[in-house]
Amino acid sequence: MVEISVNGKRVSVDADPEMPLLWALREQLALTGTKFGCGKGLCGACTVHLDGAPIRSCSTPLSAAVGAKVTTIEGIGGERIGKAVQTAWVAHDVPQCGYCQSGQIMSACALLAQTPKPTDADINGAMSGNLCRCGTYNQIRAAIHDAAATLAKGA
Amino acid sequence: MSPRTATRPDAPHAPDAAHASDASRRDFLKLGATSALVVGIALRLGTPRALAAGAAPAAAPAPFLPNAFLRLAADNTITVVCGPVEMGQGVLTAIPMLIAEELDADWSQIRVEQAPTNPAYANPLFGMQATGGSTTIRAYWGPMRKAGAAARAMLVAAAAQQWSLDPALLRTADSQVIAPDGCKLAYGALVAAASTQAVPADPPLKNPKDFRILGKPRRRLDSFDKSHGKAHYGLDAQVPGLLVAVMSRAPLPGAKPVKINDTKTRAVKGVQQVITIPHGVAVLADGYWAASKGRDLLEIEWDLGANAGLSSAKVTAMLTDGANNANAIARHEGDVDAAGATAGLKMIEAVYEAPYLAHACMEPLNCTAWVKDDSVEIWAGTQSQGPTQGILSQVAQIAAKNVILHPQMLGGGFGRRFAPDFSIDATLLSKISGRPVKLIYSREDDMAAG
Repeated sequence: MVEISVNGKRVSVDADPEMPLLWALREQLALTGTKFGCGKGLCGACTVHLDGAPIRSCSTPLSAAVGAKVTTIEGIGGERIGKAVQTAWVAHDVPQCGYCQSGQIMSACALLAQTPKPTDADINGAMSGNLCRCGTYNQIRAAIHDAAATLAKGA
Repeated sequence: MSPRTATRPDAPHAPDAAHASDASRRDFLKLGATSALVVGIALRLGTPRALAAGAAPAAAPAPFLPNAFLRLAADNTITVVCGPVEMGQGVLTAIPMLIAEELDADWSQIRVEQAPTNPAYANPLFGMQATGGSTTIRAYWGPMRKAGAAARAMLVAAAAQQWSLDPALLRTADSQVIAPDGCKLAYGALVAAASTQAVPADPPLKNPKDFRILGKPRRRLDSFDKSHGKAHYGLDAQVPGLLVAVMSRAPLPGAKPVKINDTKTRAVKGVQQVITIPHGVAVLADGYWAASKGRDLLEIEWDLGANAGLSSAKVTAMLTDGANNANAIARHEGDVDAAGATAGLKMIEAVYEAPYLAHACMEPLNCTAWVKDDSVEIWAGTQSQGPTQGILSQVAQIAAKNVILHPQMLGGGFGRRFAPDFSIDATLLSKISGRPVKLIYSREDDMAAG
């Protein structure tokens, strides 16, 4: 049994500590909002937060999450930045097929936590590890700027 | 391989689409319009989910079901049942727009859900339930507007009866029927009375100059779910007791596994079964990680068959040979030789070649299949729901009417999800293993096998 904290709740997972965190979230905890894309940390679809930092859960062993706080797309709306980003995502109709968007949102939230007023270059740098096959990059950038503006107003 | 050419089924080509006969449109509408009973059954079989946030359950009295494509509840919510599948192209919003326009619906009351697999939802251009070739709006444009217009006409007839007025005097707006004196009846209040009206055979459509919804931007109805991790893709299917399968697929078309050593695979904790099928070997385990580890430990000797030694260079040579065939000329205009001989004109020659590429949908190809004694349940993000249902009926040797295919959201399609290969493999593996199986083609497999 491996004990971890996910979205503010302590949970026990009956799995090999070497198993990637992604499969514990998706298969054992039924948190399917986090997506499997490549399994190699190359596409960003599986991005979650570990103590606020964006990580690729498909290539992070479950053991690395012990003692840390895991936040997923299902929990990020409970945070001020997460709520603003998700609201902006809907307002800008960012998703097309939507499959990569959980990872995009998690990376965007981590960016805004570090850089409250990102430039286009900041966004390109922080988001370059998250691929979108539909090509929603322009909407993503607009939504991040919008969320940053909302947060700056104290929302 | 171009997604469009690769995936277009035997169906009228685009130019014909614009001229689809009125007769076929009428037949389509009639099928939908007279199938309220069929709809009821289909909806139960399909267990569709309301995709929009806050979709309310239908309150008593029973909802108004004018046809297969919408139901109107007494609380005024209108649920559109969308035949084509959503893969990012926006059909879950576009189809409701077509219906809402002619229905004069209050857009804020519109909900949408993915249709079950049922002939009532066939793409009129394909003659089967499938999504691809950029046909959705061209194919459903007329029939969905007719579906909305038929519902509107029945609501107007119900109001006219209630007010003892000529229906021609009544108008509609924002989900209300309005009398000349300004009296209004909400659509929801007319649910029971509208259900008793005759379905009009050929309801008139609006003049496009009167459109309020079509031609104007609308927020997507699926943005909220997709921005909150709530949209359900094929990969998210959950069935109690399922095994996850990862395959080692044949390295070439026609190759077969002839000798397999799975000793190391079976030693992996969580691996339950190793199954050989004609074109690959599958490892079935409690979860993806164990299945994937087990798959990587397989030792397989392949008989490469007739395609042994196939290479990109050989494929190029075959294509070049084919292109040099006189019958391969797709278009020939003017006289190139004469033009080349013209003084002052320079001849430019070029060869264009595109490599074979994987479609690389963000969501790895997958299907969950559960073959039971006398039925099959399938959860798949597929562009070819109807044809796949028929094919899987043959694979499972179970009547097509008992093959229940639940269409899921697609994490990208691009034509690749028209092919039934992943659904066939999942069905075979469930039939052989006796368990519900979620088959996932790994990203490596997707790239290697296309």
